[in-house]
Amino acid sequence: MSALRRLTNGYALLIRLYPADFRAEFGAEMAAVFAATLHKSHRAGLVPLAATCLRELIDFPANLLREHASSLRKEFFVETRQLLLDPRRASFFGGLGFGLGFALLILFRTLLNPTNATLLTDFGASLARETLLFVLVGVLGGALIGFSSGSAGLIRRLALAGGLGCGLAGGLGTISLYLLYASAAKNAPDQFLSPWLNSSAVGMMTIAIGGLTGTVMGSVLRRGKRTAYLALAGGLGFGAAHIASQLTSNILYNLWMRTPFYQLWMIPLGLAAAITGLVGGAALGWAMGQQKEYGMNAPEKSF
Amino acid sequence: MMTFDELQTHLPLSETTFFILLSLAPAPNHGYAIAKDVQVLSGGRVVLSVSTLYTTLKRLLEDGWIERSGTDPEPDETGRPRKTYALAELGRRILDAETARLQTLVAAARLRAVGGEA
Repeated sequence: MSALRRLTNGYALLIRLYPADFRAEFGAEMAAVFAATLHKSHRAGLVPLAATCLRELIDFPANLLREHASSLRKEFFVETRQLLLDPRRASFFGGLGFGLGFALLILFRTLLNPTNATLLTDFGASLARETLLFVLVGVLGGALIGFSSGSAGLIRRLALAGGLGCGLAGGLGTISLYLLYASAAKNAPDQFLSPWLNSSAVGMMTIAIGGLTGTVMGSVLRRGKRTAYLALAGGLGFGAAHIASQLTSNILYNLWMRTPFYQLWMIPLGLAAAITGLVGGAALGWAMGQQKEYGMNAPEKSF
Repeated sequence: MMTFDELQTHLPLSETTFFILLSLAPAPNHGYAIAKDVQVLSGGRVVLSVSTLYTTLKRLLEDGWIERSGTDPEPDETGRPRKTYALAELGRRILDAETARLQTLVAAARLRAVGGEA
């Protein structure tokens, strides 16, 4: 096989790295133009041939990245007219996804932190763990809201949006809690943070989870001004969910500790957390799917 | 139809975009000919790699600045028909606006050079 043939074949392999739609539209043309350019350079001598190959190698990575970024943008930013989210189904699956996510969060948090290190004693690991766990919650919740539509594309987009929103809120919330605990420990080293203050701080973090997830989902789906509505619904939904969870967690915990399975104390906590996800996720799903003034299936208004 | 102000938001054009649009101004052309033409138009200064050429063509197609205009009667070296690209109305207006912008810049530079320090 001649050197030119090898180079042409090598370039054909590089073209395969482009996104499928780009490759289908321009791949054959690119290969033909590269072959023609290569032959012309070869006739001019070795230096022009080397310059042609070098130019391609230098430009290729940036163009490849640009095309993949463009392809991802197209994938995630869709026209909302195409969406068909039924409010009841979206609400059910949103509640299920986020409920399951929050329950798993408690389980994994226990498994990933066997020494029960606190935020103050092991901030770095706590931040990484909490961010990762909240990303997983968001991915699960978003994916299930998307699942209610039956669209694979929407599952991917909402999973990404959920992961991003929840992960961001989880990370920022963990940092905020650390600052609060550190400040409290500095001011009164011998006293525990009051349960009310602690619950309020966690509540704010939960509201942020709903608000940010709604914002990112609305942005990904190009909801325009209606993104604020989703953020509000998410924030209020998760805020109300936190109150419901707080009211039930003590009852569930005390009841569980009287059973022979008291060593599995994470189960009632997981159930209480699941209530947060259930109510908050259902509110977010309902807001995404409801069809009246702000609904996705309503005729698009100019905004 | 884009207003004058809307056209201005696309300016200034990158050299690659400008030369590709300029190459298509007289008549539709295929990819390889565009690349050669850009090199000639820029006096050998702008040599497009194949990947830059086609990622730019794709963007210009998506933005509606150029359009596909069938195939070249002369096939490529493998015997396949070559797809040709033509300047769309929007692309022509943007090219005109960019040319006018550059003319204004050159006129200002010439004025200062002729008038000495002002």
